[in-house]
Amino acid sequence: MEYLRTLRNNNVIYSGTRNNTNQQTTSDFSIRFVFSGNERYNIGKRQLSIYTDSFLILNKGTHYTSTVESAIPVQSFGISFDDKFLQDFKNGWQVKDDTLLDLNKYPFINRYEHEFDETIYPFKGDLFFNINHLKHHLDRGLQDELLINEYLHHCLINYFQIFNEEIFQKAQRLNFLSKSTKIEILRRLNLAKEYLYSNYNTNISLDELAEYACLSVTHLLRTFRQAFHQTPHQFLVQIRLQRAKDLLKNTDYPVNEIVNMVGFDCPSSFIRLFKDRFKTTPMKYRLSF
Amino acid sequence: MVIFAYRSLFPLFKIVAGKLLARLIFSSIAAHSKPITSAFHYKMKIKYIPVFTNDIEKQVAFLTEILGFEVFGKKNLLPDQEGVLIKTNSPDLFMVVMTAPDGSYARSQIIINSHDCLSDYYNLKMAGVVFSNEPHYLPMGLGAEFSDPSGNQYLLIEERSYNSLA
Repeated sequence: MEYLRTLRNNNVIYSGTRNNTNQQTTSDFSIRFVFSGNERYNIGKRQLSIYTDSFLILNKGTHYTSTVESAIPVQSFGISFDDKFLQDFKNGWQVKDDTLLDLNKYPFINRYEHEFDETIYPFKGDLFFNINHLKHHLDRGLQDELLINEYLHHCLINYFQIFNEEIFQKAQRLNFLSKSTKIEILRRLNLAKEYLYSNYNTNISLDELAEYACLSVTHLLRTFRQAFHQTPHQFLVQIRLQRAKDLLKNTDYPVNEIVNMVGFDCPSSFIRLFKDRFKTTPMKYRLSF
Repeated sequence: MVIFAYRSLFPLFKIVAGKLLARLIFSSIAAHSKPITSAFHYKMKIKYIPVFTNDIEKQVAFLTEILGFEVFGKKNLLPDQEGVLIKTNSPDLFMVVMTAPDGSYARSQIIINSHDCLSDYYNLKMAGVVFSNEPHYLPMGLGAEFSDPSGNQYLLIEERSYNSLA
C-alpha cells in the first residue's frame, strides 16, 4: 500500500514499495525504516544500508540518494517531523515537572547535538512496537490526526531513548577524561558501526574498518570494546545472525544460501553460532512459523 | 579381635548411622513440606472478581458502553443482594458488579490487557474516561491508569515482549 500523508501540522508520513533510485534533500528531521528488503542511502561519501532491524536518521537539509538493492520488494516507511512539532516536543520534555523520563538519566535533552545523530540505529524496543502499530492503522486508512500525532509523539520519545542508550550511555563507558574526546571517539565508533551494519555480508578487514572510522586498528579495537562491550567481529556476527534469522523467517531461501547471503563462510559454524545465540537450530526456527 | 574390630569400626558406624538418621528426618520433613497437589486443589480457580459500587446501573453502563464488556447475567453472591456478572475473555471468569454490604467499599484494582495501548488510551479518552496519567513505559510494556465512576482503579497495559526482538 502506497500513501503520502501530510498532516495539518506538516508532519509527513510516507509508506510504499520502492524499486528505484531516488535523489532528494530532506526538508525536515526524518526517520526511515524498511519492512522488507533493504535500502541504501548515499550521504556524501557515506553509504548506509538499512534493513528491517535498523533505522536511519536524516537531519534537516541532508542531501541524499536512496537506492533499492534487494531481490525482494522493499517496503519503505518514513516519517518527517515538522520543526515546530520537534521543538514543542523537546520543550515539553524540558518543562514537565512529572516528566515521563528522569531528566538526569537523559542528558541529551540539554546537550542535543543536531549533527551527531545522523546514522543507523537498531530498530528495537518500544519504537518497534509503536511504529508497527502506527503503520498498521495507516495501512487501514486511519484519518484521525490526533491519534496519528499521539503515535508520532511516542516515536520521538522512543527514538530519544535509543539515542540516549546508543550515544550517551556508550560515551560514558569510554576511558577518557575529556568529554569532547569521548564524544569524538564515539562519533568515529559509530562510523565503524554503520559500516558493519551496511557491509555485513562482505569480507570486512579490520584495516578497512579502522580507516573508515578514522582510527588506528588498535585504537578501534580498544575503544570499540570499551563502548559496546564486544569486539567489532562479535558485533558483525550478531548482525549476520540477526539478518539470517529474518531471512529464515521471511523467505524460502535454503539455509546454505542464507549462510552465503549474510557473509558466513561455513554452514556448520553458522549453525553453531545460531544455536548459541537463539537456543534453536536454523531449521527448527524456520519450522516454528 | 571382635572387640577390637567393633572399637575400631565404631566411629565409622556412628557416621553411617548418623547419616541414615539424618536422611530419614530430612525426607520426612520434605514429605510434609511438599505442596499439596491433591485433585481437590487442582480444581480450584478464580471465578469472580468483585467490582463494588454504590450505583450498579452507572457502573454496568461504564463497563459495557465505555469499556466494551458484555453482561452475562445476574447472581446472588451476598445475602439479599444481586450482582451483575460481566463477561471477561475467559469463559470461567466474571467480574461481579455489586454494592458493598455496609455501604462503604474497598476500591478494586483491575489490570486490563490492551493490544495497542496508545489507540485504546486515545479512544477511551475520547469517550470521556479520565486517565490519571498519560501512557508511560513500564518494565512489562506501555500502560496508563484510569478510574471508573465508582473510584475503582484500572491499569490499561500493553504487554510487550522485548526479548523476542533480540
